Amino acid sequence: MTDFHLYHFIWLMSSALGIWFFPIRYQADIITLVTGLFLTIYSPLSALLLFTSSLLVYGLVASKYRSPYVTVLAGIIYCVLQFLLIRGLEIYQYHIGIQIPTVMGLAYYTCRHIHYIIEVFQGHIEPDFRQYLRYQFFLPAIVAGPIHRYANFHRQCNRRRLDKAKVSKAFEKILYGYVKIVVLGNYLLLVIIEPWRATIEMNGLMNLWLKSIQDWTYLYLQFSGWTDVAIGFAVLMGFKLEENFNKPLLARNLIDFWQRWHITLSSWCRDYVFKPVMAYTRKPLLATCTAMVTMGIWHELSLYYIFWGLYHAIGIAIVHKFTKLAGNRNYLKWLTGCRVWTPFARVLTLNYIVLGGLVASLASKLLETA
Amino acid sequence: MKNFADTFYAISNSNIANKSFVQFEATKLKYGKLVEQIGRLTSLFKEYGIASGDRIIVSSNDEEVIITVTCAALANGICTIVVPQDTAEIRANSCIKRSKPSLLIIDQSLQALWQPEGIPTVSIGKQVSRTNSLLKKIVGKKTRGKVYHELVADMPVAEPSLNFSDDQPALFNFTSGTTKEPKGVPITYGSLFAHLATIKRVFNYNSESRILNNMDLAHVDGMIQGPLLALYSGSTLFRPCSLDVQHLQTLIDTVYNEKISHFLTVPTILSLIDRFIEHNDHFEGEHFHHLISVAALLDPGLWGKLQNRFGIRICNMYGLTETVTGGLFCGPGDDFYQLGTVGKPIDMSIQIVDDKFQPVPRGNVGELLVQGDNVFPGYFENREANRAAFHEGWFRTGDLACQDDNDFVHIKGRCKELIISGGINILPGEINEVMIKHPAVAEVATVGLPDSIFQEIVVAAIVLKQGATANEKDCIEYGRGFLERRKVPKKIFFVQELPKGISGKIVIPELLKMIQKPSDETISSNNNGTEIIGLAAEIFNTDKNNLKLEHGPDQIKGWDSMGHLSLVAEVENHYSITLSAREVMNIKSLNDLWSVIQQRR
Repeated sequence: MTDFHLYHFIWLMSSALGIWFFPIRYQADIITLVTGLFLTIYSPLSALLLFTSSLLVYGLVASKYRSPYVTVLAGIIYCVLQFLLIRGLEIYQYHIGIQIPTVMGLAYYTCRHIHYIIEVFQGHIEPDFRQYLRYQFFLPAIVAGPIHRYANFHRQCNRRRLDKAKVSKAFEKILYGYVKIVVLGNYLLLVIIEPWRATIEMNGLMNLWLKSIQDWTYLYLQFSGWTDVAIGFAVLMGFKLEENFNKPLLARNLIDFWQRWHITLSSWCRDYVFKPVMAYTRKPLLATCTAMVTMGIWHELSLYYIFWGLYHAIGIAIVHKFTKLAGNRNYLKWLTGCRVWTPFARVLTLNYIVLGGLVASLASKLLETA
Repeated sequence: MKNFADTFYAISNSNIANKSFVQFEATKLKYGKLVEQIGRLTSLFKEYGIASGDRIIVSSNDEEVIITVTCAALANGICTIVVPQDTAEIRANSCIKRSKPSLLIIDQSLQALWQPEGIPTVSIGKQVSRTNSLLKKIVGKKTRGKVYHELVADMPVAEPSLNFSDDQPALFNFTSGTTKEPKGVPITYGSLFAHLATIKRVFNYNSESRILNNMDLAHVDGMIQGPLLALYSGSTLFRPCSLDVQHLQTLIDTVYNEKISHFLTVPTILSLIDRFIEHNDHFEGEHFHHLISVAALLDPGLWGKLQNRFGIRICNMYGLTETVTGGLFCGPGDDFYQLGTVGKPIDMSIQIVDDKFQPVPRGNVGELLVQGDNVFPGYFENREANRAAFHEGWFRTGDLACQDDNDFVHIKGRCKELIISGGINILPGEINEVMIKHPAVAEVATVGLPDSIFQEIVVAAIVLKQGATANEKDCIEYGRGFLERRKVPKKIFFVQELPKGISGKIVIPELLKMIQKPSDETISSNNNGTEIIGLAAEIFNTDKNNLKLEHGPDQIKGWDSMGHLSLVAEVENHYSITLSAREVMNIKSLNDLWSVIQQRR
């Protein structure tokens, strides 16, 4: 646990306890102010970017420009360009001789901006700047998500209450979260297992295979750990955020996996990338590829994650094809009805996912070498 | 059983002075302030020479005023009549004339409209600035020209008389009757407190209870099961918003964020909640105890649906203004609960009789008669109405009922002409009396048509005078000029003649048949709704009987992203239309898809 994480924890805990001393109708705004202050102290650039982008996005959606299509396109292009520019600068900062500090929560609030723009465009949300600031400047979700939805957050603002029965569960969730991040992820995986894996002798592919398993496990521990912390603190503040993981090891196929793993991100990609591309082009494969590559780039702007996205898109297309076939072919119906099918499908799914890291790694290295 | 003196001593205790008695949208009325206001109003009553046994009328937009005045009047043995704000001038004046109040406490706007003559009136309105008030104090007579809040603020706090007897009227409600001859129902101290004791016991109200009831204070369910029940049990009442569709979300959010224990509402609101409120977690948590439906019959379909949806038991109370509010309780205990019934009587006796007042065999339908401490003594100065309403000490409810082998009472209909719309009792005669005065109307008959939201809506069938013309809008506008908002017919049917029996009396079932013929449009839209369900059943490979228009991806297995596209493609092909990308993305249920198709066609 770094110093920053310790300060983050202290800010979260003091806010969660402190807000209840204020009148309930101002509490959500106090969280907004505290979040702004937190960002300004620890990352002024992040505070500035989040505030200006929120102002711009809100200004765009609230403007009564005659073509909502232009507004929505301008908003999305602005968000995507800002994201790519900052990510690009982060990668090439040493090449171009400047040093830029890490922008906190960029990937999360970019998704939230786009979500807001499209939902306003579709008429599901009535723009409200105060409420939008509350949504974007929400301390528990500012550093590591989840990509919570505006409608649910707005509803939570209107029906907040402190439930004594839920307080102990919230502390439990926070504790589990930190155990995942610090004990299992940062200590067990990085300090104990990683050096051990590096010492064992095996061929390159096997090593990459093990590395891929380790990477996925680390990703899970980090993402789900931070989500637990966010959800726990949100409960202490009277909010109920969306769950982000739902037993991903039990996934029976790749589609099922993406409905259980980092749910807020995968559902964001489904709603704001897959569905629009599919609705415009009516080409499911193209829509799936775009959605999965977007998800890859969201993790990191690199060749590795572009191949990773394509690999998952192919996997999803295979699952669709198989499901369709299984509905028509009797032998496949019999096979998928067997008792051993479910455990087999689970092992197959997990191995396909692990293999993804290996394939993407090889493909990106191959391309870079070429 | 506690009476009001006990209740007053309990709330005068300084321990609860800081506790909220009523929480309105933005303000709170604490018990301490209530006691102080009762004291000041006691002085005001003395100033106007009003004593135990007198009557006062209150009508205001300011709910805090209505509640404090009613409580203060109760503490002084004065009977309060709360008249709805939108009462038409003729009816308001009839109510004033019949009840002979010693004082009116009404909004300034009403004073100009009703123009009560010869009755002292305190108007509720904007306060004059304190400087002005001080000047008046010096030069003017104490009470002249001052508005309610100034007057009350200037009064000293006095001890209320607590002088009343059980058979003395505590509240007075005008129910049904006609515009000129409204029937007054006096609720005595005895029946009021007997019934409050019953309700408190049945639903386990205590000082920890947090009651949500935003029904109209002019109706017994709003006043008695609201502020008076909160006062009686030392609990807190929440009135966060008015009772309409626009505030439905606020109402339901209050249940959760204010940790409501008892939520009282009418079937109309339950029906709106079912239609317009998303999510099912509003009643979760250990704080919530009972959802109680009052004032009208709850449709068993809606009842069961909401219970399944929210995972709670919905209790039902049956009663009339004449029985204070209730008498028969369905729930909360298993012994008293059977969906679709009005439960069993508690602290009240019932009889089901035929038209010769002979008890009918069990299971047979007859008129429901009731008797008990909560039953009122008789209509105010209305011998004729009382002769018809009582039989050998039993009150005739006018409802047709039967009792099953397990003693549960089922309501089967009404034997008197009465329309119950959104929990409000409406006598057709009152509407006929107004509509017949329209210059183009020769004959009129008002009936209630079944409605999924309001249970019944008021409609009028009109025969026009020969050569006269009038349209629906004219007639409805005309009705608005004389009737309260909820009594104005929602629809007018122009008919050649009204179906009549040999005696010349209108045959209501025949009239209902005449005006209830479904239109071709309705038939056509129903068929198309079924068609969409058929298409979806084919695409998602499921039985169409299991599908409903409101179903979406959460309810239909196989409606994933690909299924979504397949369904859209099938619909486009079937109806030869092309849906825009925005429309495709916006479809969240079969109903959404159906709406898009309707717009396109």
